[in-house]
Amino acid sequence: MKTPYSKPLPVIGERDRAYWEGLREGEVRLLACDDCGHVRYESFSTCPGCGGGRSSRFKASGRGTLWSWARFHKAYFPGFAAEMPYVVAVVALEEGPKVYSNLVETDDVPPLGTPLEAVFEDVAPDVTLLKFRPMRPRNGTDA
Amino acid sequence: MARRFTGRTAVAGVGTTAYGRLPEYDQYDLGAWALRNALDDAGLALSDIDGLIVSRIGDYQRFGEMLGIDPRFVTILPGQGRMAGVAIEQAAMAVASGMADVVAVVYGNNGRSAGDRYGGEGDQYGSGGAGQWFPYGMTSPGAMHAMMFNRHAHLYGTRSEHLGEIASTFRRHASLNPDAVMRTPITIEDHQNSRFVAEPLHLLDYCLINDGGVALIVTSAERAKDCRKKPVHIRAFGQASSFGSGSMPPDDFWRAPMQRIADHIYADADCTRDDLDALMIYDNFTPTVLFSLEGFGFCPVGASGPWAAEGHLRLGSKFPSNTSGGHLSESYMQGWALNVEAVRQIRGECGERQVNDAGLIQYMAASPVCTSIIYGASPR
Ligand SMILES: [Zn+2]
Repeated sequence: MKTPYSKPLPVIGERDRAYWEGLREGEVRLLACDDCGHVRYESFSTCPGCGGGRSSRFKASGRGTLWSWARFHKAYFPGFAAEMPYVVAVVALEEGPKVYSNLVETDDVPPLGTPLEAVFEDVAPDVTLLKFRPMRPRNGTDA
Repeated sequence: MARRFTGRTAVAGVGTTAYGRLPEYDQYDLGAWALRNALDDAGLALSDIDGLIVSRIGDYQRFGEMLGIDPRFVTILPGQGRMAGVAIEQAAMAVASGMADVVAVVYGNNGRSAGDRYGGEGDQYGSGGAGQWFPYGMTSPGAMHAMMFNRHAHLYGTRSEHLGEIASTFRRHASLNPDAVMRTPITIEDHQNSRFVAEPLHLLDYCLINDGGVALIVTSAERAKDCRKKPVHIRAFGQASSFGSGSMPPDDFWRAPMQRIADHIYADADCTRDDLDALMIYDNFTPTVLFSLEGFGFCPVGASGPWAAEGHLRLGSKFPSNTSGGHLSESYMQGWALNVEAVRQIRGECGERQVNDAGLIQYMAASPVCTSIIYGASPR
């Protein structure tokens, strides 16, 4: 039997619904300003780069680097108590914005600067979280 | 620009409550208690107040009602520590502009008794931007500072033992302060052995959480001369913000806004860093002290850890800092009590922890809103 998911879930609003739908479909969809191209994670109506009011979602690479991390030894959320201490990473996305996330498919926290790639983790019927694993060497043209 | 305010205003009175667990007092009670002490300190009465700035007290109107005062200038600031400097600066601006003659700046914090947690579901750090990260387990200002320190360590080789020097130094200062909550000296080894909260930060890298209140009376340099105690002049002040990193740790440890203040504040105060007799550094977490020392140019960028470890912040050294014990050991009065300590040092009221001939002291706070104030025994 799978235990019920007990970690906090995101409160998905109209503004960021497209972001969460993107994760559901395995894509990181950030916002880019239609006027100046500034890329942002936050679903603000206004571009912090130029003050413009028009922007569009685009598919980001899903790649980034490990910028920093902290290991939580205090159970602020009961849902995380079972995996204490747990690590929250700061990932600097290739396109510029940073996100908080968790590292998967690695036992140790790799050194800061390590290249990471997105892993899409379904945690609830309509919620997929954006996690990261150390970048793997690829076959074919990327190798 | 700030230069036109130089030396025109002064702190005429300061007041603090007891610190610790004070469950029978709410924020209003604590603020009023501190204000009574500040007025008594200044030799002024409630009826002299014509300006009121409150922070972390729920409502200015109710506070005014309770005090029975009708000031012409009133404002309220969010209950964030970064607002301590903002509040005092606004008081100085109100006085210098003629908007008010005697401004009471009042703070009351019953966070300990109210069970404030600074992490988990109620976390508002990042001004409401925090909640979206709860699904990843991210919460609390302490964790964000832990990440900043981790980054600093990666870039510059800064070590946890350097933070231990700060924690143990401020505790040593607190041991000389009868009002401090935590007075038992600690060693760097004690710091290293204290449990992790958000690793790499240990418990002893964190500020206290306790109840208390603080008030200051700001008036003109002229009027302050007629008050009960020797005026402590507001020589210069500055403010700069950095909002671009949002709920994320900033790339530059808030260095850019601090440098913008440093670019004018020493000239405004007509002094150099070397003229300063003590520093009051906002110490919500030990790494903030390092970021502040770099931002205001007391040491080269990246060198703050080893520099602090040389002992410069200790009483008797070049830049005795947080002589009261600060947030880490005296009381979690979010910058407010550090400003009071600056005033008391310049008046020579600090007993065993007194800095000899303290004539110039700088307060500084590193956060998305950076502030700094230089206090002096003379107006210029
Ligand atoms: Zn734009």
